[in-house]
Amino acid sequence: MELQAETPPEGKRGRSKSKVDAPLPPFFIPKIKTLLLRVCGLMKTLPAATADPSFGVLNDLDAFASAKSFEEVLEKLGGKGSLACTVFLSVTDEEERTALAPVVASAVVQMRTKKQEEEHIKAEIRALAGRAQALARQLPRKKDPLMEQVLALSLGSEDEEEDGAGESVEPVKKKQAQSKSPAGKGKKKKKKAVKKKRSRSGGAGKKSQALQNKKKAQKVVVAAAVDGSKGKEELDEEEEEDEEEEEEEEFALLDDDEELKINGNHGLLSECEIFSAFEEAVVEFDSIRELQQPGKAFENDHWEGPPNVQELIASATLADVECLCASEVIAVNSLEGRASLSLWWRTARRSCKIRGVFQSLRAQKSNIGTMRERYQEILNSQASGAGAVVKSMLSFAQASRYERIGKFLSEHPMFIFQRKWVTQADWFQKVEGKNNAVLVDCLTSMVPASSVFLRDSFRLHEHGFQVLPALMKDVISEDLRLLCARHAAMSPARPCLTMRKSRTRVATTTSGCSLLLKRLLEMSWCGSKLF
Amino acid sequence: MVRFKAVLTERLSQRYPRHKVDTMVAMLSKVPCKAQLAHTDLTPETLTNVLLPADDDKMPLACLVAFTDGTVLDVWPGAIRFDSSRKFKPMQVHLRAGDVLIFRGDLVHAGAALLVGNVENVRIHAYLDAEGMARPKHDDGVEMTHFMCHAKHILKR
Repeated sequence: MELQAETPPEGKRGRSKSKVDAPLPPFFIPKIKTLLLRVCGLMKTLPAATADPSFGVLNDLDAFASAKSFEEVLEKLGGKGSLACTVFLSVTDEEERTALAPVVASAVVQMRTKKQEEEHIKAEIRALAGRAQALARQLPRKKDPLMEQVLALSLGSEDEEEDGAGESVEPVKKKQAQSKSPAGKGKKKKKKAVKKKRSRSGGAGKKSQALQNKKKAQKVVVAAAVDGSKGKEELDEEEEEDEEEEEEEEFALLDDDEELKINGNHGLLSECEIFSAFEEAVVEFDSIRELQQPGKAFENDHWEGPPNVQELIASATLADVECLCASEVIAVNSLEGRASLSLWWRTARRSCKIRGVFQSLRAQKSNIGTMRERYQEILNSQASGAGAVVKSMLSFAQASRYERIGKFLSEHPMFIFQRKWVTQADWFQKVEGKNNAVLVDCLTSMVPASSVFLRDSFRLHEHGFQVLPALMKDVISEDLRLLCARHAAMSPARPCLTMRKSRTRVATTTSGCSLLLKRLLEMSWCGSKLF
Repeated sequence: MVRFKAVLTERLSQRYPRHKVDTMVAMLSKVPCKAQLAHTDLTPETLTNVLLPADDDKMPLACLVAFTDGTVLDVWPGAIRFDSSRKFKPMQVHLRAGDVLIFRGDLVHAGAALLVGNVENVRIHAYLDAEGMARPKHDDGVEMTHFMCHAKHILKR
């Protein structure tokens, strides 16, 4: 307790350069190694990066086991100017950095008792769980049981934990300090927004009344919590805060239509989204295809450092609102662009290989029972074979998904040269209005067959048809279109043709003819012989 | 219109020298409009001598010229030669104005449904007749077609 009182809350967020020879917490080295593996993986995907001298350091991760601080790790990576160091900083997010940095500052100094060590480990677990939740929230398909479990995790904040021991003055002060910090405020607003949303059904009047009551109650709680010596100044500050919160709550109160616009239709992909992504993919097609050429250099091969949160927030102006654009333009040949392509090509490679494996399994049809059984047979043989290494294998259902992507690519190989749908999850998003069909099954039925992605997919004597893109585009005019439409609409020829079709049908089979006749007569088709 | 036919004939004859453009029909799909029944333009009896891959050059063809962006046609890719040994899934071919779709006389296809909100579309349908192959017609000159909508291997849309 004494140590906590001596250490200001801000100290936890800061980074000290002092080095103290004290035992490191157990998670420090494994965490550093995880980050280094991330750096190594990323640099390997970028050929230009592996040529950098600092890449060699990553070959021996054990050399980092002796590191005593975050700064020392950076030095071992060749210092802040080196590429490996820059990548390392890029792949380390804010939470991870704050978790590792205090190892030097406060944790190494303070962690002398077992209890404090446990506290630190708990904080680390909380940070990791928070990260897992943040990642899970990015996934469109939330029905995955694992994702649901991750999202259901209750991350007890430090505030909550300290509530129980909130008798002393120190935790109260700490709590007040946190509530003033942006992060603390964010949490509070989020909770309020949820409460507000729930009370929305009660109508606007009830809503504002509830808000007033809540505020009063909050004020009472705050007043009771603060020391009697607390001055008027602090109360005024709280009132100001309340006003700010009230203002911001207005933003949190989105009506259902707005929420639908933001969150989409229950996670379903709309036709509109697919078309716009497809159009962008068509535009990028050539530049992605050009990347096949060996020695194609990066357009922008410098790594940007991590964002300076405070500076960015402070520097924002109403004159520069580019950040409000729905989509950011990321050059195909930039490191970021290549990273997403690399991810897609890895998924594609795996899918094609699994497609090949499944084809071989299908060829065994006569030997063993079902496909699932044959697949299981392979897994069993992998596990029991000589010198078998225990690896977790894909279930039949998971492998089948990859196989479907592989099949799709074998039919439409040009989709390799896009970066709009890069993961398995992307291809298995459900599409609105398609009876639960997923993107991989219905994309080709939604986009123009004459597009670069499909135009060569269909062969006349294999699929039965082929598309000649824009062959008559130069001849077609609006006048000609209107002329044909008028000609077709006025002609009585079509009903005759549909009736004729029904007669043909009746001639081939006697069953169901009345239904056919009905269907044909219901059609609003018109046709007229021109020549 | 005459110029249109001349240009189409010229461009297609370069690609399919053994075929001749004939019987050009303007077609209009109004909104809303139900889908046509799955069919082939020519009957198995007519095509009986040209169904083997070796005779692909002699297979009568048809073409569809889209006049409107978003012109749709339901097709069953691979459902040719009246092959019933496997099942065929349907797909929609989307065409843009000026696109030309060439398909075999034995391809299972159908005019797609147009829902409210779709665009009324206009297109030209023409036959590409193979040499020595006559299209059987009814007495009044309308071409015979062959329905495939009840075939088990042609999966429902």
